[in-house]
Order: sequence, then structure tokens, then C-alpha cells
Amino acid sequence: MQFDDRAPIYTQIMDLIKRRIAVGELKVGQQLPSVRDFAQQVVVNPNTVQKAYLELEREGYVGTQRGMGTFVSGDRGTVDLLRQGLARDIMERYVAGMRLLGYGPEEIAAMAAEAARKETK
Amino acid sequence: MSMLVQIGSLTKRYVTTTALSDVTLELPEGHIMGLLGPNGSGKTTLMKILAGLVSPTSGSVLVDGVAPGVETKAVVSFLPDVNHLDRWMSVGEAGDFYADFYTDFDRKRFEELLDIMRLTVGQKIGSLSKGMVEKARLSLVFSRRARLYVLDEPFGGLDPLARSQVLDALVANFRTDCSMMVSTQMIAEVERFFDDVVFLDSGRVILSGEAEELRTRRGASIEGIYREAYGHVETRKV
Amino acid sequence: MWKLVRYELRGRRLLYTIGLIIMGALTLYQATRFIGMRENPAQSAPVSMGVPLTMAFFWVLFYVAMTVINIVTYTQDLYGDTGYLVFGLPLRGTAILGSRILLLVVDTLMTLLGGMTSVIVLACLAPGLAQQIRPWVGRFLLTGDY
Repeated sequence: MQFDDRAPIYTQIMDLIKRRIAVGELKVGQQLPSVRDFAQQVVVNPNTVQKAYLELEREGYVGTQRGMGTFVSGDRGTVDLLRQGLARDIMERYVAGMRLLGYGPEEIAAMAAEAARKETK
Repeated sequence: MSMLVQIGSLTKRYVTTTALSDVTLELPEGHIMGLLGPNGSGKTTLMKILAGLVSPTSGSVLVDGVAPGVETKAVVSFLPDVNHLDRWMSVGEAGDFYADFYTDFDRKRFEELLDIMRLTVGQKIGSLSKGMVEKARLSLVFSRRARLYVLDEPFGGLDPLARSQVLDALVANFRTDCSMMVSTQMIAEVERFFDDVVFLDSGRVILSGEAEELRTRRGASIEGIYREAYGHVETRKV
Repeated sequence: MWKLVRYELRGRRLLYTIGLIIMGALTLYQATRFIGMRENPAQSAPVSMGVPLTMAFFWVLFYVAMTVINIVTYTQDLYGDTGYLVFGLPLRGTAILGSRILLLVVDTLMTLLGGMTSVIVLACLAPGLAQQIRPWVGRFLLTGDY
């Protein structure tokens, strides 16, 4: 798996897992792969995966049960919130990029709506 | 977290040159450390000292609390950057040799690794291509359940496929009760495996720290930091 | 240490084989020069001190070659790039040195036994040679004259 080595890898792993939760690939209550398995899948230092898991736990997205593994915490509501949060991040980047090109709010919204319509067809 | 390797003010002087000068570093248990620097910066000398093949001129070196010697050789698995196997040996005989002298050699793991690397026990070392010899040597080194793995340029002479095989083996081999010190020129491909990095230049440590922390602090990859540290212009596209 | 000696010897298998084949060939060659001696004295090559001296010379050469290889290998291992395998082993330096000294002992025994064997073979293949040589050897040992 490709990572941007210019930023800490553990945050990128966290983002990856958050995305999977938001999209529903990882369901609430589902167990995350073991640190070792995940490290082998993604081909990264297991300590980095461990750090990502710990941070995710600190932020409340997952919980670890001793001897059992790491599971996705929360409920439907928290997942929706996560989804919205990630969507907002994408939108902020989109808007910032469009503004750099010189587009105004109305044009940005219109172009976004048109692109979205095209996508769903 | 205990320190598996503790090096303090290590200096190694030869008649005409000083290979290492006042080197201090620590490698915690369960970590993978990248030893980086241009050719001639002292990486190989440092690794040979850890392997007990070269003795320091001054300073202290402790591997699992013990100075390098007969005891540490039994727990340190060293991969030199040149072929260290006799050409008349077959892969299987090399395995037998290791098994005979190293009590931590795991035959089963050796066979598994040979399988992954597509090598057979009957092949003579002298008949193998450069890349295959590398893979054979790596298989031997990793089949030992050592406390410290010291790998000097383990990726030299390997094609991209073999490199990924080795990296996969590295991750699969990872245990929290051992540590690895790896020197490599292929920083970009390997930096995601380093917990810690140490940059050497002309025998001195010019930078060291945790990889992730350096990335955050410098906003750059380890390779980018390397280029900066050794005076190269950053040419990566943003 | 003994384990190491075993490995070193195995590694030298080729060297020993070649060396002993050469020495065997030399011995047989010498034998052919004197083989018809008893039946037809005129046919054989001249007998002199040269015969045992040549044989001794080649056996000494054999011994020197093996010893030089022994020492050079050890020195190269110690100061060069070739010693990683042996010097990385959890063995004391004295044990490694000891194994090389043991190799020297093996070489010595091999040379002595080989030398005696070649003398016996020569004596068997060229009967009469021993009788012819004896006076020469006797004179050499007493006066150093050959």
C-alpha cells in the first residue's frame, strides 16, 4: 500500500481505518485485524500499526479488549458523524482548490452538483 | 522499554583513518532502526562492532547489557554486505552449518523461507546468481531466533520482486522481543519500516530520532531529510 | 572447536584429493622408471640418491603448500572480508586458532603417512630398488654426500 512518507504513517493508517468505518467496510463491533496481520497486509512496521490503533482508541473510534483484540466502537450515530467529518474534510479541500482557480461560491456549488449528477448516472 | 543496544561515545580508529567518532545511540527492544549515510560513513564498521568482529578503540558498546564477545555472537544474527558463505557449500549445508553452531537456528523456518525465496537445499552457493545468494544469506540470518539482527545492505543486488519478498519476510519475522538494525541506500522503499533512524557522516552521528517524529517535525520523508542533511537539493515533486 | 575442525577438513576435501592424486601419480611415475629392474637392469633408470631425494622433495612441497594455504586463509579471514562466517560464530578466538593448529597437525600426519605409503608402494612395484638404493642412502646419511 502506498503511503506518503512525508507525513507520519500512523496518522495515514488511522485515516485509512476511519474511512473504512465511515464507508461501512468495518462495522461497529467488528474486530480489526491483529496488529501483525494488518502490518503484513499494508507492509509497514507493526509498531506503527500499534501506534495507530492506540491513537484511534484514544480518539474513541476503537476499543481494545485485553486478550481479545481491537474492535470498532460507537454506534450508527457516531459512524454518521465520522462520515460527515470526513466529507467536510474533502469538501474543504475541494473548495480551497476551486477558490485558488478563481471560482466563486455559486459556481463552485453548481459545478459540484453537476459533477455529482454525472457520477451517479 | 528496555534498550537492546546501548552505544556510548564509541570511537574506532585505524592506522590511517578514523571510522567512527564519538558515536552514541540506543536501540530499544522491539524496534527497527535504519542506519543511514553515504558509503564510507562508518555504517559497516558500526555493524561489525555490534557483531563482535571488530573491537572498539574507545567508548562503550552493550548488546543486551553485555559487551560484544562470544556470548553476544550467540544472540546477534549478522548479515554482512558481502557474501560470507563458502562457494563449495550447498544451501542445505550452509543451513546445517548454522544449525550446528547456533542453538537459536530454526530449521523449519529456514525451509519455509527457502520456499518463499524459491531456493532449494541442493544448490551450491557458487552456482547461484548474485540475487539468489543474497536471498539464501537472508534466509539463513532470519532463520535464527536472535535478539538482534544486524543487516548491512540487505537489499543490494535484489530486483524489486525480491525486495518485496524480503520486506514481507521482515514484517512477518517481526517480534517484540528482538530488534533490527538495517543499513540501506534504498531509503524511499524501506523508510516505512523504521521506528528509529540514525544518520552517519564521516563516522559521526549527525542526526537521529524516531522516524515518525522526524516526519512530523520536518514535514518531510526520511529520504527528503537525508537529502537535506547531506547537502542535496530537495528534488521531489510536491 | 572440533565441530569447526570437521568443517574445515570437509572444505579441504578437494585440496587434499588433488594433492594426494598428484603425489600418487608421481610415486607411480617413479615406479615405472624402475619397474623392470630385477629382470633387466639395463632398462631401468640410473639409481642414485636422486630417487629418494626427489620423492622427499615433492612431499615437502606438498606439506609446504598445505601449510601456506592454511596460514594465508587464516590471515585473510582475520584481516579481510572472508572471515565473517567463522569469526561471527560464538567461539572464542583461541578455539578458532586452535582449529587451524589442528589442521596443521592433520597435514603433518597426512604428509608423514603419505610419504611412508609412497615408499612402500615404490618398494612393492619396483623390487630390487630398495637394495640398490640402500648403499646410496647409507652413504648420504653418514657423509652427506650424494
